[in-house]
Amino acid sequence: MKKFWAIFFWFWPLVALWLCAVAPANNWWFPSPPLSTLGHQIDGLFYLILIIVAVTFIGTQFALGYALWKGATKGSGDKAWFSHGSHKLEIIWTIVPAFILVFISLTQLDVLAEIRVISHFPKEARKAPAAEVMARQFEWRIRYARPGTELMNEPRPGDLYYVNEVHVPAVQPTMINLRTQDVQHAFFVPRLRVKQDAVPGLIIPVWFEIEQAGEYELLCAELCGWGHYKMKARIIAETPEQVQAYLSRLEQEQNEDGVADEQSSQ
Amino acid sequence: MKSLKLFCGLVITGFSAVSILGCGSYGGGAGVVPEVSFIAAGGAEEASTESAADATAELPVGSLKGRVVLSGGASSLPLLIAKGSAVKDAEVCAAEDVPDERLVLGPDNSVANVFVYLAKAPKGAKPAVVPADPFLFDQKTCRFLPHATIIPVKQTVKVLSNDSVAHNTHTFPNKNAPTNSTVNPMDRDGLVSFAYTKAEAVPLAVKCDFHAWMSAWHLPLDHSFGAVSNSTGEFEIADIPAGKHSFVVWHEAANGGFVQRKLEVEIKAGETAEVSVDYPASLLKL
Amino acid sequence: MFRASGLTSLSIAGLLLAAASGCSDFQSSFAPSKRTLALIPEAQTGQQGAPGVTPLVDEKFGDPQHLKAWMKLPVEWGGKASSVSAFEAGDQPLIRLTVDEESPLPEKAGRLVFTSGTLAGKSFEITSWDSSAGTAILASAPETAPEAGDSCTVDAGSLLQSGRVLYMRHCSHCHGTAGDGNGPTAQYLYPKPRDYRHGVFKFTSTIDSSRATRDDLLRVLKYGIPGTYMPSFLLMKDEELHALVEYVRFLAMRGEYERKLVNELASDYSSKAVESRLQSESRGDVVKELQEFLGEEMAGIAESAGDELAETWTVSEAEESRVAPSVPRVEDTPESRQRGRDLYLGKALNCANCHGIDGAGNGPQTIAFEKNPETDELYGEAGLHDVWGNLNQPRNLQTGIFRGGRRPIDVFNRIYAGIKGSSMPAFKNTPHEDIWHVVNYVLSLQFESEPGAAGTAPAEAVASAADGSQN
Repeated sequence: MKKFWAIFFWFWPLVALWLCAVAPANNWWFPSPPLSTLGHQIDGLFYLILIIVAVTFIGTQFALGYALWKGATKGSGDKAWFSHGSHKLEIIWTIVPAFILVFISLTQLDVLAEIRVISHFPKEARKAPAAEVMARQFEWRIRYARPGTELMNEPRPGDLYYVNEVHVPAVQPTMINLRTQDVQHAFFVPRLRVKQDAVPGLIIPVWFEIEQAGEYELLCAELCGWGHYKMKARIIAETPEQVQAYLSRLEQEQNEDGVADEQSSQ
Repeated sequence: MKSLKLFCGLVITGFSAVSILGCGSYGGGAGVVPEVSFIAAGGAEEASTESAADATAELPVGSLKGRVVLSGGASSLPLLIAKGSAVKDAEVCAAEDVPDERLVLGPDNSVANVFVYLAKAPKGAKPAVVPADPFLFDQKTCRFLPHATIIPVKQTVKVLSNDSVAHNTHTFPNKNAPTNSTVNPMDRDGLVSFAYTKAEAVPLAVKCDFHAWMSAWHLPLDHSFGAVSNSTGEFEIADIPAGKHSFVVWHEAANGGFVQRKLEVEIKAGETAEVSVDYPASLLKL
Repeated sequence: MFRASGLTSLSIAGLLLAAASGCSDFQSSFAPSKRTLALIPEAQTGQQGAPGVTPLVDEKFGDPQHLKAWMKLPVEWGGKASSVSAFEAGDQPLIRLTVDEESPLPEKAGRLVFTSGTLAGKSFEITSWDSSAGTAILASAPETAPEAGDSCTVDAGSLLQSGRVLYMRHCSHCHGTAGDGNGPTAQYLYPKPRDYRHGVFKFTSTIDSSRATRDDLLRVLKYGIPGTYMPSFLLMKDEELHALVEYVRFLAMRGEYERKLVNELASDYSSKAVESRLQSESRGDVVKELQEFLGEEMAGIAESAGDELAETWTVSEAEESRVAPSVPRVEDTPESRQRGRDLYLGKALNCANCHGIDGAGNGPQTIAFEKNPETDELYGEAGLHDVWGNLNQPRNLQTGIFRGGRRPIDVFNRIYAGIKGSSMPAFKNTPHEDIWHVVNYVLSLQFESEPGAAGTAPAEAVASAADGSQN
């Protein structure tokens, strides 16, 4: 019976390791490669931590399994072994993890600064936000500045509005202002590794540089109600000229007075 | 210890089984694709007044005259708006005294604005003639004029205004399509016009959303056998085919509207039946 | 220590039962409206040969598991139009359809409906379908042989089916199974979700006497209604949105149909009416009268109700139903806005009466008690109500949230055609230029530095090259 439990506790960590190994091939991994400049750094940190943790995991599980096996295969007549603890061991396994954690926290400082500290944003991104993304249950309301002006925190006449679709320039550091109209949401673009909680009352600048033009899925990553699961939007990264053309089209549509020629529906 | 293991094992197995097997069809009703069967368009039913019209020519007719009298002691209502009182748009709406028209009593407790009509045209009766001229529905000092009226179906109703403030005319019919449009101040041309396309079973309310106290009652009928009692409570309906008829008596202040659902009257050819319609004050809900 | 006692076993069994019962097949149904339920039971159900409201509605619309497509109604049922090229009678009647490489026939087809010829309007179940050859074996033989050239629709009803499935997944939790605006989540929402059953939709591009067009409904689905709980479904595929629009129209027509039938019966056969009638008549007499009415007249009324529905909804799609401003939008200048403000405050339009002197939606009308015209009783709370009986106060125009859309034409539509179902009337006799002035004023209201300061437009002031100091 004891052997069974020893094998049981050997088995599952091995399964976990095997799953980890086959995961990328089966697409049970995050979308790769990350398509933003920050994304590479974030992924790098993730892999660093993964390796550290994996090594620790293997080590500790091995130790556990060894102890179990030894105990299981011991004869019943043998005497039990008592230990009064080992001061040396305690010191080792406090200092080493502490050192590792400090190392991790120091390594990630610069990436964190780039993500969170506005003075560390690329200058181009800091200049003016491309759009204000207002999260609300259960959609994303977008506000662009009137073409030719800069986006203000307060709505201005001529601002352009849309919903669930954001057009931003690709291959160019871009910043959006993240807000929420009601409860907490989170701006999460998996393929860009961008994730930021939207907190009621705050205007949070989020920047990213998308490396490839295309369509990206924007998801809500903070449980916000019954519709959280379907709170999706599209981020369309295109050339700056295409973005301007889109904004002009949007301006035209938003100023429709139902009289102009127009072959299509209103 | 053994029992604990057994218990845990049972619970885990039980729930797993149920969730794997049972919940496969959960929400099955909503997600299952429904069947669709088709129903033929069917013929449009023609209103069968045609056949009846032929036989009309020489039907013997009589008429009905009557008076609606309130019994049980109730008095006229106080003024709705006294002249000069501080209501909205007072310079127009409080320029004169405005009576409360929910209950208008005449001499000897007669009641005005009571609708007396046949629910349906009797067989063989003449179909109603739709007047070519529009019905003029006016308003002055924030009062609809007339207050209660029968309007033939399909007759154009033109809404006029003799006030220098904007009004709107919002109808609340049962079977007809509702209308809600603003009426320009001092509109004597009647830019707002509409027509009722169907007869209603009971009169419908007409209100002004700007001045909530304004109200009027219209009864679109597809026959001519109806009348509204005048200021002395009297009404007259002519050319009713002889026979037994059941009239509806309706007034806005009655609880449920019906003063009498079935006023049975026998009309004799060439004669005028006279009735006194009793309106018990207990029916009033004011 | 621990023993599986009798009580424990019982509770295990109980838990398993509860879990299993929750996992059973759920059959949804179209609930009858409150007004239907306010009729006496005999009027609701009727009898054999004299059906009441509920069987009449079921006959033409079915239930959510077995929908009925009444071909009179202007709803796109779906499927692919095609035409007959040959017909072979026999045990297994076979129809050969013309196959066109350009527009291939659908992979699967369960039903075929003829749209012309002697069999027009008849539908047949397909037991075997070959889409490449275009051959369909019918379950039952048609009474007359279809001729070559007869047009038909194959896979008919597919749009309605997908509309229904999508609706139950995405919409029914707020809007209810029958579109009554009373789904499970509706109780937590303000404003309440739309109840389609009046056939009335608030934000349309049509004149006040028309229904909403497909485009209007599509617009609402795509862009949501800002300021309410109606989200945007922009990310859904076009075919899915199309299916949903048709299904919503189906539900609206069903609701209107039920309403029309009840209107014929309500004044004489509602529970309240019968109660007062019992004072002078016997119940037997009332029921007999009802059954005569149901047997003789109701069928005709039902058919003409269908005709009316067909007409109103078809006309609403036509060009003449659309609001068409006769002049383009007046230029948005401070003068225009000032004129707009003057009109807003003036007696001709009387906007301030409801919307307040500074557009905050707090005009004197909002504290007046009004009566429900249907029941002639005072509403529970003061203020304006809509046709669904909900409190529907005039819009606060200072927020900059425009539920029906913020384009100038949208605001024009609201003013010109009113907001159907609400107390916002149709200002159709105001000169269009004046309406544009008011539109300009209304669109500028949220930017006023102080109420009534519309003349000092901030539009010029904003073209500043301020640096992006957001924080």
